[in-house]
Amino acid sequence: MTNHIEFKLSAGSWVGLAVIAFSSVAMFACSMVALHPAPRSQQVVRVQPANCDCDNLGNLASGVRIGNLPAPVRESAPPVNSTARDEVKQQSNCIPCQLPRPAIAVSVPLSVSNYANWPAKPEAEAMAKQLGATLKVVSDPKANAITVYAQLPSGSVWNTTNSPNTQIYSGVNCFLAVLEDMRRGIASPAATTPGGSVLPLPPSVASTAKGRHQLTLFLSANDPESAKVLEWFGKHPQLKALKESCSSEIFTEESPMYKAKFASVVQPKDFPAILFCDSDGGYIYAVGRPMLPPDSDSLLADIRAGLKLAQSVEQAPVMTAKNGEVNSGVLKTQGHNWDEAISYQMQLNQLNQQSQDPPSPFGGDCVDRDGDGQCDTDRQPWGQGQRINDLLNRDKEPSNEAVIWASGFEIAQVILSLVVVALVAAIAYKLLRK
Amino acid sequence: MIRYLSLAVLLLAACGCSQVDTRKPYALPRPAAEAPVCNLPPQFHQRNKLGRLGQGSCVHASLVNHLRWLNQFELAAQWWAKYGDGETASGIRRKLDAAGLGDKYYFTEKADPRFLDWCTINRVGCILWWKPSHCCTFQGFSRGADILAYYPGARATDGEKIEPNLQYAAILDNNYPGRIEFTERTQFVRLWAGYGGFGLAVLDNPTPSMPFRIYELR
Repeated sequence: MTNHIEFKLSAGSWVGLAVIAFSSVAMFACSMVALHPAPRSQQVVRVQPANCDCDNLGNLASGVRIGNLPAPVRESAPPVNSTARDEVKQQSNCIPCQLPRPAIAVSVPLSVSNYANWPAKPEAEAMAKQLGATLKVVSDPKANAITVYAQLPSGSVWNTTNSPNTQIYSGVNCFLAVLEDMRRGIASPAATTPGGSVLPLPPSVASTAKGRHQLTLFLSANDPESAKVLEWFGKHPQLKALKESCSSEIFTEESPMYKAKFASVVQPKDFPAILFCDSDGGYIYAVGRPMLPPDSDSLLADIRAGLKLAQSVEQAPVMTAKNGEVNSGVLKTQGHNWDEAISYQMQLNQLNQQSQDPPSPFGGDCVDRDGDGQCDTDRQPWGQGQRINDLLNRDKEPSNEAVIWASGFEIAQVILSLVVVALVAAIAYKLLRK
Repeated sequence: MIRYLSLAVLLLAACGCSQVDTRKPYALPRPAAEAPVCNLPPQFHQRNKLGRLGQGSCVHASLVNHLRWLNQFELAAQWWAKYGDGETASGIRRKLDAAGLGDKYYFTEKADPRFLDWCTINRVGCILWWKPSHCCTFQGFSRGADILAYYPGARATDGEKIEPNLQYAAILDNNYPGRIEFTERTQFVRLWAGYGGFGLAVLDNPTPSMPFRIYELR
């Protein structure tokens, strides 16, 4: 009696397996053979990073601090009003302290509460006299309030830097502030544009000035995966340096700012999530829970690869469409599938694009993904067997190269299915024979 | 031998291969920059209040808005609960020092526009003296084109149209929560000096930008 199990296959079984193997190889070969008379040579595109110091991510920061600003063309700072600088700032929302602002001066009622706290009446009256305005003060001791009416000279134009509708004043300086505003309005009826000409941007705010990259972690409380991610950025030396060099932020599901701004972009079910963007928000690397790397070294390698790809794009051609409409990379705010849409890895099956434009200024619904200058029609991601269906049902096109339009994975699935069917048939046959 | 060979052929035939990717990355045009740069959601705008002395608390309200943008909600809540009434430049600095933030803020008292540029580039914003006897939250300089992308038809505080190629300062006035006011840059700096030229920014990481794709594989 032996302790091992021995499998013996009959000659027919061997033949069957050989047929299946041969068929698989044949199908695989057909998917690679082009019918085109001049077969196209396949090229492996290598991304060339541009000036990437990717091996030293600890020095990633490109932000500037006030001590490191480039030598600016110093704007001539106007003299500072030291009195205004050192006074107490305390304008408050004093209801019902409102000053309606008509375009043509009329009597404007102004109510100031807290009657006891405006000792500035003599000064206010002097200023009003200087402006040529007439003040009429009506006090209401019962309500502890006063109402001030200011009659401006006829023909005056009310034009200040404040809102044309309402202005709220209160407290000690309230009355003076109102008159100061009136003074500015009367003295400067014209719009206060500087020099009346369009000025170029000063060099100190040239578009080349960049802030720091942004690293955002979305973590769940009491979640081992989230704790692991946090530990990676706390202990791995280069990830830690990256986090410190970036403008980094950690959000949980309960963070008020997450709920207000990012809840539609990153779903809690994708936590922990890592989002690495440039200074403007263009994301370089992003990953959610399902695609989280197994360890910190893999994460660092992924970030490096994403950075190389993003940097290579700086010199890459900008995608355009023949109809002139250009789509930006704004993400959908609803139903955005993170892991499908934002992986930087080159995978042939990533065809379900998720970009969508805001209403303006880039507008338009035209998406031209295949670069043929025509807007794409409704395009579904390639599902299993759809390419075979496409081969059979659509018009012949020169771009149709292969005999069988199926991926290796699909071929393997077909073969395994045939194997299962053959096994089941063989077992059933043997049982029926008995 | 044939048995093993056949098994090997079977495995090889069934495993499949990944195909070579010939796609190239193409840069996507960037969308309009978010305007204002320090775009605090309206539900977090703090309205001014009267303090215990009957004075407005605009400095503290501005600081609360600033702290919320820096994602310091707890500190902002504590600050708002504790402080109120009017404030001076030295007074607010003393309070920040007392709160342990002495080495965590930058300030200027000379209306230095580079300070505001720094606040814009680093997206932190600041509080500053703006309007008579008032303090507001500075939300960065924005290009006119970006402002118009988000607020079509917007006008500057002087009533003029927003010019696409000019820069404008975005101001959140705590007397008008929910509203952003835009003033052309050179006019803003000039007026800021007239109001005292004081500005202060707490040093912390701001809320991240809304992400967008920068390339597409084709």
